[in-house]
Amino acid sequence: MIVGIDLGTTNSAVARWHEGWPQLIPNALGSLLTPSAVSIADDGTVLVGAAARDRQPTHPRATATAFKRLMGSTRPIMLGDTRFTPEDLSSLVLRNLKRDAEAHCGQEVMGAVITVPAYFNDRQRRATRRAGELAGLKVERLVNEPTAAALAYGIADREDREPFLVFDLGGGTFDVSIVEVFDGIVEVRASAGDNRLGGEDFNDALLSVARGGLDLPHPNTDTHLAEVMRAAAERARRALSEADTAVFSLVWKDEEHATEVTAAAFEAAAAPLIDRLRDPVLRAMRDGNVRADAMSEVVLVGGATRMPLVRRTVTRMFGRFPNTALHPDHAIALGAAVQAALKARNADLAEIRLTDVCPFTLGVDVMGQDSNGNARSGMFAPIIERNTVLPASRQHRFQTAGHNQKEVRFGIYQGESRHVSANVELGAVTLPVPPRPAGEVVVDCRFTYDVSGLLEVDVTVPATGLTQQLVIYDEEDAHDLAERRAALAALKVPPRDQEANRALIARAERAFENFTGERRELVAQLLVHLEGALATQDPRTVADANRLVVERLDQLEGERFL
Amino acid sequence: MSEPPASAWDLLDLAPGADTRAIRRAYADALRAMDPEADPDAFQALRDARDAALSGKADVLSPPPEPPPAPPPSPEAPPLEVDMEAINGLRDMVMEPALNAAPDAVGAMAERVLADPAMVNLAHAAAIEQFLADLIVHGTPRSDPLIDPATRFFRWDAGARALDRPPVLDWIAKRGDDRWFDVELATHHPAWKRLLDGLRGDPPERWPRLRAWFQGHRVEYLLAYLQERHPTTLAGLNGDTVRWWGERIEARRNYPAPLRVGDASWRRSVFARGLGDGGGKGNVPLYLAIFVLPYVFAWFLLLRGFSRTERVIGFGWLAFVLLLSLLGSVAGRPERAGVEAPALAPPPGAALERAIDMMPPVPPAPPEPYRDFDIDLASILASVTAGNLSRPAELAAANPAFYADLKRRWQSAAAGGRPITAWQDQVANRAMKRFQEATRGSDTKMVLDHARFYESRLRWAARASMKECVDVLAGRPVMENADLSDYRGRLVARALLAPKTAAAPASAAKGFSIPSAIDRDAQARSGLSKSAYDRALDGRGPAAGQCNAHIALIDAALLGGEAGTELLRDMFR
Repeated sequence: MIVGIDLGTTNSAVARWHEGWPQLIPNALGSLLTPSAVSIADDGTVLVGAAARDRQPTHPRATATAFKRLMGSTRPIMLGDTRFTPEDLSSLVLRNLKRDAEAHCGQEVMGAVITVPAYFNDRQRRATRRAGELAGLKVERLVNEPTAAALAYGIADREDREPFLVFDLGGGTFDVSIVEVFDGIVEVRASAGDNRLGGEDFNDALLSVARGGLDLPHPNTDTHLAEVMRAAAERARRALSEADTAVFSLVWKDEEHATEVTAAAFEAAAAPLIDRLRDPVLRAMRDGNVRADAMSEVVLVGGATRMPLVRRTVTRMFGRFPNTALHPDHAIALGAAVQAALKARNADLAEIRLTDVCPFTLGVDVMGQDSNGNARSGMFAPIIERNTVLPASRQHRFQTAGHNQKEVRFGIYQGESRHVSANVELGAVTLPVPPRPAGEVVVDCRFTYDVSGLLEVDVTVPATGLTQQLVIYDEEDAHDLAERRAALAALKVPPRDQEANRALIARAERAFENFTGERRELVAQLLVHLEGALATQDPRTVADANRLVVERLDQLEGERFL
Repeated sequence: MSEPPASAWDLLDLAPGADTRAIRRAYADALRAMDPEADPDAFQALRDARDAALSGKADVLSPPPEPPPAPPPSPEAPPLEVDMEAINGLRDMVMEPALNAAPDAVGAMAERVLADPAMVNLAHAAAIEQFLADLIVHGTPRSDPLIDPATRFFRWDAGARALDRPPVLDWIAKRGDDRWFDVELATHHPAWKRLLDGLRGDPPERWPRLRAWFQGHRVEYLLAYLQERHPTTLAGLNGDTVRWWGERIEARRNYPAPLRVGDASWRRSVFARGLGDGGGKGNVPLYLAIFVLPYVFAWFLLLRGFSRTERVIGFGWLAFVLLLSLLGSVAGRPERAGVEAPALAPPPGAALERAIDMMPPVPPAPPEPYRDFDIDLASILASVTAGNLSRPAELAAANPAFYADLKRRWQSAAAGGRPITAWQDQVANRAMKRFQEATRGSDTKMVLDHARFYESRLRWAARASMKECVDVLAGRPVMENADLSDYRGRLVARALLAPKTAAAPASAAKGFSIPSAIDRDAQARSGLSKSAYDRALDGRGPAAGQCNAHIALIDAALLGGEAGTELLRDMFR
């Protein structure tokens, strides 16, 4: 079975195509969304999901969240004493989702379609693919998040749609795509985005507003404090989605600190972020050649689009109310399931096809002339322009720049800047050339970029017939990958039926830290009761205790959200 | 209307000339029948075929003839509240010299327009961008304070120079540099600044002839300097004044002989001195002193108390000094950083270096023997497109038939021993022919861009004189500035790289019919009465009227939607 997985910054979800519709698969706790969080318990077991997320305020040094923002870099993350790379953490989440899917559907999950932000560069995509392989999944395809949302939206009623804009503001990334549906062909016309703009940034903005009213040290001084503040900011931001003012409260060193935050103050602090929303939209519209008033509608996807501030901005940008028909948290996973069904050539989707575009320009570094006519090195010569439909194959001819040059070196870059120093380097190809005066030796360079984001570079010197090929994909060979996979598999993970219990304990501990005085006492008692029930190992006692503790915690906390 | 290659229709399995829906449906069916990942080349061919077929159609995004059952329309958001007062106020401040708006006030009003909350709406922002760009171009130099805020807000300076970047943005970037010239003049060369301000105002009223005689050379030099170094400043000059000066300078050549004595050397010295350090007026006391000194010396010598010998020696010395100074000035001062103006920027009215209008000049390098087809083609392409298309590989990829045709001719010319200039002329001819076909072909964007370019040429010529504008209309060769040549080169490059579209054949009829709505609009814009307007379009009447009428017509056609685009195609037939 092939499933579709939305690997998000804050939450992840898994879905499959079942009986003519994409459906989300619930996890062990029964909810459709699994937080993208990993934590190491004191006994060395690795917790994933809600349990890990709830451990973050209490054990910040043993918990990691929002590691999607670090994908593509090799920055190690220390959880307790163990070192993880971002891919390892993502793979743990993916493995958890795989397990849940297998348990729910009763079939083995062999492959998956995983979503990535449209604006993820090549390195980040390769890291996501590696994470899937480390989790034991065959990554059938990486699909862009707004494209997935457009798929879920576009096939809902199988009708033609004039170009519409998908506005995807998630936890950590912002993507814009312009999509058109005609006769079952879903065609992406243009994509743009910002990799560093998401709900987390709005949390920071609210935090900066709230800190003014509190007398606490700067979060930089203490990671624990930073975590507690971040969680409080998230709660307050969600509360502001429903009311005009919210209370930002946290417990630090057994003291309760609280301050009120108004919607107006939050919006003023978030104004620069709202400004940054404009540029990707403009660029996508320009590349897709669609004007703002010619857009048939604007579809909102992603949890952060629930903010009234964002909705109002989108309304004012386009002069009309956006379409909120899609569930912002579910749409992407459902779209991934559609793509999974397409890949498996499911008969229900026989007449549907999807074409996507390359969001970045790909090219090489050359020596060129700048605006004054001087020769400069490090200029970017594009070979595949951005928003070219995939698969694409383009070739350009270059010539040697120096006399009796021995070899040519093509550095391969991805980006939009005219100078390669501002673009992302993907690799390099070197080829020897016969010694001739400058400009007399021509070299052909062909880029082939396929739908999965695999770039193949062929460099040829027609004069000598020499060819060099470079396929930009994993540098790691299969052996290393297998080793890493085995290492990750060896980590202790609690059995699935125990997950609910671990999650509940983590939640109770978090509540314990959050409250003071009388309520804290209550939670302490609940914890004792729960641990006692677990020690008996009797399923009925455990189930009863769980129910009781959940009820009480809900009363005390007043809300429950992921 | 269009002629996509026959292979496009074959790939789509359609009869040529099918409508938009059929093309898209055929593409959908063909896509379903293949696997793009397995055969990327076939997929690319299919996409190209679809794009070529669709490029012939009017507007891919136009709603289909039978509207599908529309879903309930999404409720319109609350209407946009635009600060029209600020926008109108800004326009008045820039376009009405009588208001005498201070630069700070203009800048503040621009900030107000840009800070309007309605700017969040993208359609409104696009309209304001257009409005500010037009205002900056037409309101020079009073619109200078607008350049920085607008460039910052709309990021006009970002990004590389793409082939389809509108020339108005290049012009505005140039103006951003040139406006500092005004400031420099004001601080370092106040006398020249006064001259420049005079050129911006009305023609001189007090003692015009005397002023023309006194300042004529310097005005001539200033105009030539601006033309070469700061062409955007020319846009802000008063057309009547410049014309008046042109006439005066022209008339000066025809003065009777006695008045022309020393005129040429005076002109040379003005041109050689250039802007100088601090203008002319400051040195008047010095010149007076030098002028008066010999008389004082002579009077002194003629006083009593000097012997004859002493007087002879004194007058001899005086004569010697005077002779030396005369010789020195005639020999000419060392050239300072001035403009070699007479050669580079001929004054208006003199015999212009007639740049061939439609045919680009063949490169001046002596024709070399046939080296390699690609290298030869690269050099002639570079000159035809003003450097914007210099890679034959691009041309070969975009238009293989054209490329092959040129190659055949090259080979036959090389084999036949004909000089390479003949082949280069052929290439230039065919390139320009394709360009002309494209300007009346099916690519709407090309038609509109060419129309804007033509209008820019008319306006540029009108700055020099209305007569030149009429010359452009009549198709006579007229001198262009570098920016216009470069933009034409870009348009030619685009035309050469676009798929071949066979436009309707050039009709022999001279006239074209104008839709009445556009006609009325154009007449209103030109500010002429109906009869004057009609005569002007026929090519009769005063030059100013003809020029204004045609510019107004192009303006109206550019804004006239579909009908306007059709009209533009017809106009350049």
